Amino acid sequence: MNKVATAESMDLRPEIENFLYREARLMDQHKFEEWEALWSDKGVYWVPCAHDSDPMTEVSLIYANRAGISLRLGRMKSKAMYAQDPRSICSRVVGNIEIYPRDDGGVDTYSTFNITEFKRRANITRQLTWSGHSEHQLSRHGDEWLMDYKKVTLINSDGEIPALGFLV
Amino acid sequence: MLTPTRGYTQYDELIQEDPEFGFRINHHLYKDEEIFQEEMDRIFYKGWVYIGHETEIPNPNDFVARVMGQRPVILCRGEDSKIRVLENKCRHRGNTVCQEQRGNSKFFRCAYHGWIYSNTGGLAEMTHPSAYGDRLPAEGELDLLEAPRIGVHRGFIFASLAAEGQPFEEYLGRAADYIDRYCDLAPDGEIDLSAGRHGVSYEGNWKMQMENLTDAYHAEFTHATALAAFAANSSAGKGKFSDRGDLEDEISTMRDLGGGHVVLDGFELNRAQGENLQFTGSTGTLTEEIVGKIAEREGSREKAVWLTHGGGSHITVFPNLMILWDAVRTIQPVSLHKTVIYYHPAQLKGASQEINTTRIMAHQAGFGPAGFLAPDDMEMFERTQAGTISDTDPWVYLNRGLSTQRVEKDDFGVEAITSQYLGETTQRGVWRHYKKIMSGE
Repeated sequence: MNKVATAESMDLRPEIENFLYREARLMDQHKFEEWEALWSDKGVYWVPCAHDSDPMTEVSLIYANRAGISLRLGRMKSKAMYAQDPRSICSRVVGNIEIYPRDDGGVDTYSTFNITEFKRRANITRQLTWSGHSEHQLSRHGDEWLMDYKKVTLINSDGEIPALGFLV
Repeated sequence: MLTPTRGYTQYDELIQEDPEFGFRINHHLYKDEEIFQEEMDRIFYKGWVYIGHETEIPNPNDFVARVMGQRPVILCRGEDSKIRVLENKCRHRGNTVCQEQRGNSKFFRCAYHGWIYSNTGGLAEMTHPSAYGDRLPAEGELDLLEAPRIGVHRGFIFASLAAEGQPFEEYLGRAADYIDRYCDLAPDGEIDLSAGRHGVSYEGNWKMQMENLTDAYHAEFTHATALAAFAANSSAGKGKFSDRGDLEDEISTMRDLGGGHVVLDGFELNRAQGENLQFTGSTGTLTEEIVGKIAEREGSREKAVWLTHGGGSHITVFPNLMILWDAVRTIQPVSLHKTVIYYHPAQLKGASQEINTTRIMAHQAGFGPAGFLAPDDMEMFERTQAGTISDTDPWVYLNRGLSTQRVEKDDFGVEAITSQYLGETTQRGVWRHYKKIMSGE
């Protein structure tokens, strides 16, 4: 990646950073409808398994188009998604944000995240840490930015990981 | 070999059958450390276990790192093209010699003191051998240890760390018919497991997954949200259990094949559904592309329709191989309270990439750590494990279908203990075999 920050990317930084922080907060708070509203109609949500993989020929953890995102959220909203009953309590920290404006007026971003997850079930409690790298492709629609594409690479995505019942 | 500090557990006290109470197992089977170690010894080190598939190591020098029981091993195709399972342990000080999960290499080198082994297991180079003086080990004495027995069926590779014991064909038994039928759904008659794998861990005993694959009873409840989502999106391919009418009158599907191998045999049920195939279908196999290619292979359109409309079963091959819908699954015990399930999407050899991509997508919608089905299963396993702390009543009764099950011919015309699909015939089948193996019979 030979991209460099420009004056334009510096101008956009406050609002793009705020977008990513807000997205993280909506995921922390399990606000599925508001999170879904961050997607454009083009939305593709990809969480690879192997780090260098092709989603058409290799298995992913998640590869969803816009309809698939809605289907996933529909299930997550239900109390009968037992892997999230009760829901995990999560705290996300998003950092190392790089912002690169595109010629079409949109921006590409790279960022890292850490999620601390707390789960309590009857007589068990567990606290886990998740981390990885995100790539967003955002486009401007009127006053707001929307996600056209989000790729999330967990550092341990091709390892042995517990059930991932929340959004990343 | 280390001698156990005590005699083996009395398994006939933990798995009991009696006209009065029926069939019951004691939940100490899920939480006793000595039982876990005995399972490693008797099931995973003395018996046959599934270790991988030929399509994961298609070329000479290909390897994948695997774990047999708790022991690290290398499944590799030597430069001589022969498949071997080598213990991943240097014969000098015992270091693991292969750190990568997969790759292609003629040699495995121990980084500690530089000993090099060929991928046929032989010690190719011992550094500074002169220091051994007249105690230099003989040629071949310090080769990597190799699983003495390998069995391959339709590309599925099994291994045993015991030099002698039950022959492979006898071990695989009636599971072979069902594996064959699954492979027959591919135009070339073979599946391909080269599309990567998911690894999902749960904090629970490995046998919970072994019991679960053929437990049709839980699906309607544990997987209510997933089944509703799939029904809303017919392209995902799987239907709703609750739409199936009076379940007690269903065509029988639950079969105990003996040897610990059990299935939810959906062939007849699937054919009865015709183009609306829902239950144990296999993605893409009803397309004209696949039906046409199979018709060509079989020389019969009728046979191709019969095969593809029967679909694939839910198959559990004792102790660690499972096949369901679009993927092959393995159980990896990690410790008494921790298990990993690996899911490998099964591509159909001879099918177009388009169809295989559909299969990969259908698989990952359901399974893996973020699928619609698997996380809820893992949650149930963890809750079951959590419940085993309460010893007031340690018994788990598996009596569903016990009084109504019967011996019936299956799709292959062979008799098997059979019940309608909400029974517990398959769980009993697994536990009966487990008891036999663990009792040293």
